[in-house]
Amino acid sequence: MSAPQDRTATANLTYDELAGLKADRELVLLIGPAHPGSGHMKIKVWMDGDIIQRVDPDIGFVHRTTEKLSENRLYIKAIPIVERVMLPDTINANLAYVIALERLLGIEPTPRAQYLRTLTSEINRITSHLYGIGLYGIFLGSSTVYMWAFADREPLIDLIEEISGARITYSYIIPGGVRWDLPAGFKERAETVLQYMEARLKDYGKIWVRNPVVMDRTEGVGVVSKSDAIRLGITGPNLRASGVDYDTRRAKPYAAYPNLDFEVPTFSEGDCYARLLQRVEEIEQSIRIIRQVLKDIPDGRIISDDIYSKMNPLQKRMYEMKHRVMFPAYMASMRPAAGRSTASVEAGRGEIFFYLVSNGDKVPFRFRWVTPSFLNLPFFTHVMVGQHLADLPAIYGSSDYFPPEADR
Amino acid sequence: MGGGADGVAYFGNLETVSKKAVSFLKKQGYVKSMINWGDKFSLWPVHLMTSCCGTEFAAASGPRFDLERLGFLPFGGPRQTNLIVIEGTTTLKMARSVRIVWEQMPAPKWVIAMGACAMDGGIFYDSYNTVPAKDIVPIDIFLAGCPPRPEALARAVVMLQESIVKNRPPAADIQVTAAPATPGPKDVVEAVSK
Amino acid sequence: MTAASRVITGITFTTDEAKGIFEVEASDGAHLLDLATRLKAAGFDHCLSVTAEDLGDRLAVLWHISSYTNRELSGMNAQIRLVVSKSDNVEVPTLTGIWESANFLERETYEMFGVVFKGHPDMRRLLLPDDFTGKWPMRKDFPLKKTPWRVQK
Repeated sequence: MSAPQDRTATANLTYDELAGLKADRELVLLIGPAHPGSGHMKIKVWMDGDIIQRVDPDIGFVHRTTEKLSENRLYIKAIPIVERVMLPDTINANLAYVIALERLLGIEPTPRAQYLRTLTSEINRITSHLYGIGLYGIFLGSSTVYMWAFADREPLIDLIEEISGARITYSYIIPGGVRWDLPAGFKERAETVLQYMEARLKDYGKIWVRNPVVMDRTEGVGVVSKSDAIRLGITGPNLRASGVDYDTRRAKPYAAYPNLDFEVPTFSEGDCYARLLQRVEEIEQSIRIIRQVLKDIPDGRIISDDIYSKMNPLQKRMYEMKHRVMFPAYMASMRPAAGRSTASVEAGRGEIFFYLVSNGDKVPFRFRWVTPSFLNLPFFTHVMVGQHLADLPAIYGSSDYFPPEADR
Repeated sequence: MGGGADGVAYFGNLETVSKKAVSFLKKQGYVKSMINWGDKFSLWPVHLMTSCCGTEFAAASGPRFDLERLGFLPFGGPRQTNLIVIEGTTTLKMARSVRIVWEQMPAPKWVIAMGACAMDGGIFYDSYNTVPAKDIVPIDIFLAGCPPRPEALARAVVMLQESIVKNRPPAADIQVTAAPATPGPKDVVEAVSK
Repeated sequence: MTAASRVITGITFTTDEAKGIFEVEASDGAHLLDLATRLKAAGFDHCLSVTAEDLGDRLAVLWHISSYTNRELSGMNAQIRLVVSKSDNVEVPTLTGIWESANFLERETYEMFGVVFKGHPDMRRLLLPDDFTGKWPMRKDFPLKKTPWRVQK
């Protein structure tokens, strides 16, 4: 147990144990690493006939060592790194890190910044779910729904591009607030997009969600019971599709969520179809939240007084003119007092967990984060077992597993 | 012996005649330009996502940017493809897959290195688990951005088409790769600890 | 450091609520298993993260746990901390028998810090290649490439 073991040696061992099966029926299959159907990972599958006996996910094809790199960078420079990992869902990764950092620094964002964070986070949640639905289409062999979902992401991406100036990597949230205010006329344009999205969801219902082919392929496939979901630590929409009423936005409130009225949809079936429906329902809830945010958003600064007071006169003038935050020198030199903090944020795929330790230096002493896809790994080792091989893409796609996010 | 209805007659053995015709066409350059024209509009990238730029690659294949109008159709099996788009960082594990896939592809083949990470590391430049893309396979086009927008990817494809029409040989033909056949983590880690 | 505390089923947590820290320290392996069993019974039903901190001559191994079902506990990211002396292969007991969700997280900690979890069903590498020669990349003595690639050549 002391030295790192040879993977094939262990695999053979367990394979021998499994060899109660007849020799002419056993088969070991290597899937990946080529998209679609496996993404950036290799899946090793032991089979009896076409029934899956055991799955060993070989991940790490996109392991970019973000924890080690962030422990050698200034605090502010970790923001782009965590974003690169969760590319369809960057705002939520950014938000989780900044909340943990703000807790270390002991600063509180302004109410308007809280609402703007919620707004961008929900827009990002919709794009993330659409990304998942589109790829699920590819996994099940329907390129139509991929085309639809990727086309419908674009108006939302345009919306968030209007606020933050980038297509997917925004670096929008900074300690103390956000970087840009809403542009003029944003509310009207957002309303147009939301109405379009609502109309499109009805079309999705017709062509994809209530499609008999989709229902046949997903209903009763990859069932996760409520107790299994809790035991295996599955997270996010996948957890709620198994009937667990848990949402980080409720349980560990952050940003403006305590002030907003929204539902946490749950399904009791726990199969692939329930996970698909769960995402559609969450898009509807996100639309509802965005409407409330745009209605209730308070006036005021978008950056806390702590940071504003550290700006130089030119930066202050720029802020008053353009409602744009330029980084004061403090951002590059901040040294949080020695201490530790944790933060949890509900991202599109589940709960992001952050644990930061500062020893008073310019770089974090310990930078730990766990992403939702990593927590959803038991989908491979537990949920796929006992299913047909042809259902492997259906289960994989329904869990919305995103390998760069899991590998970090 | 054969004869045409329009009055032109060909004499001799059919095999000799066809050989003569082929060498005539080759000398004139018609065949090459026709092949180039065919390659230009059938750049099929292999569906190998190496990293996070894959999301923008997917958006570029989607309806808004629609790179299929340039003949750019992502395809599953490497045997049917002639282009790799290296989407971002290549890690030690992924580098081997990239190399194997590249070796499986039939010639002529091209490589686009997409994003800052594939160019020279991007923000992950000092990571212990990444390999520079140019050490894995010979690269035709470097595409800047982190991540590059889909329009930028379209531009890279157009540039590749131009270079094909101008008869530039693929990087795979002109570079004798100094890289090992399968880039091993051992070399990289040794380089790190020095 | 504030010395606030909170007691759950007889276990005293050192807390810093503003920073989201709820910590309980285990003195040794047996105490750790006892604590974990009691916390599981109290309602902490899943493991969010397993990690370690390199404290120089010692390693602190941390399990972060939370609850999906118990409304009172689900707002906490509680952490169990066990400090052990640092060597090439540190041995601590596994908690996969109590929280199955710790499986992949403990494998990652093994690979990054060289913490061997005794009794773990599948103690193998997870993210790095099998023939990776460096030892325990997340420890502080593991070097980073300091120069960009183009300078290295």
